Amino acid sequence: MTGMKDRGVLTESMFYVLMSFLHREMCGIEITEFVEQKTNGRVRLGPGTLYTLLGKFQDEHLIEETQMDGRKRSYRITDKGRDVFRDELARLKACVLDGEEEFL
Amino acid sequence: MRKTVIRITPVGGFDIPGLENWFAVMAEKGLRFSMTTGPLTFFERTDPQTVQIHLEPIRGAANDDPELNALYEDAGWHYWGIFRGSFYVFASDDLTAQVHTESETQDYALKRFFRQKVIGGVLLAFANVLLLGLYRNGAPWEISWSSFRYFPVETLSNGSTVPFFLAMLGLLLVDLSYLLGLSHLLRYRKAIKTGKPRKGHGRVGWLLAIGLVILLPVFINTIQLLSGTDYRPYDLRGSGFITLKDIEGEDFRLHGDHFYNMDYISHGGTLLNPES
Repeated sequence: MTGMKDRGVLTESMFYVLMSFLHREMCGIEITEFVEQKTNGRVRLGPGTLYTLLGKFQDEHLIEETQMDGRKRSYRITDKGRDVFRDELARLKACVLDGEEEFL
Repeated sequence: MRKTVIRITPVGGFDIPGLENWFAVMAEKGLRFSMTTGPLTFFERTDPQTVQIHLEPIRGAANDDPELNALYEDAGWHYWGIFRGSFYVFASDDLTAQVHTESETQDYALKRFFRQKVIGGVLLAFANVLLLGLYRNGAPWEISWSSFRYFPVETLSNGSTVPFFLAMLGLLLVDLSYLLGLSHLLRYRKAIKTGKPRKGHGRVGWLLAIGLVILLPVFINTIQLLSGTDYRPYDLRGSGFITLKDIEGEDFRLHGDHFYNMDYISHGGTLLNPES
């Protein structure tokens, strides 16, 4: 699994923020709306959390800035970011399978 | 009535809950945070308002960040300004509004900020060495372990006792305020992780203010020393002494730069040369 040993698992907010970039470039406010819609309001992103995550993902080269238009800054996911998301998805699937095996 | 009100910041510069609480209390008194200069905080007089304050640690250079402001404004927060190049100050009328919805992420932001400030602490330590080294009467890069051992004696023997002690006392207070600030940050991180109530630590800001007041004459003295404007010739009119001007003529320029004077004055064949 790509770098999971180094960086640990993704938190729920990290997972959904990274997910928001899978199909297109996004800016901060669009990410907040995406996550709220996707989770039916279950996961809410405070502005501090989102700002910190965008900085963290940039530091770790999981996303990169594409353009700045006025107050709007857009980002896209990198190959490394896709790998990290794929690894996390596989880990979560394995968790669900294990849980279902035991529970059902 | 003046529109701007200036106060000495009584709270430590990295004491996030303490500062948030102080700004909220000032806002209730009708004083809205505006900006800072050193230990001073500037407020704009407004109508009293009950607000929740959040300090967002600044990543990198302390410039306004339009994206950050847009994110906060979208969530109902108002941008008030920058606190000492360390924090963006935001306020919300909604006292239940949440800025951080995940403690792990908040911890990451604080950890990153703490690292930045540790690097700042190294620079502060370097400034300590430079300033105290100057009053040791020697180049800072010549300082060795034995220099530290004989530091007080050498300094006292050089005669720069007052600036040395002022520099030492001022730096001690500034360093102490910085170290306490770092410890407050660590405690705040711990409180976030454990979910305990976050308390401020009052009065630490006074250490910085008093330290800087003590250092002010040292800074002025240092600038004078480095620029050569510290030379104050005695008024010798009517004293009967023969001055360098009498010997060298009216063009002789009195100057604090001893090397300049030595070059200018020709000792050979003059009364200044004891051998002649």
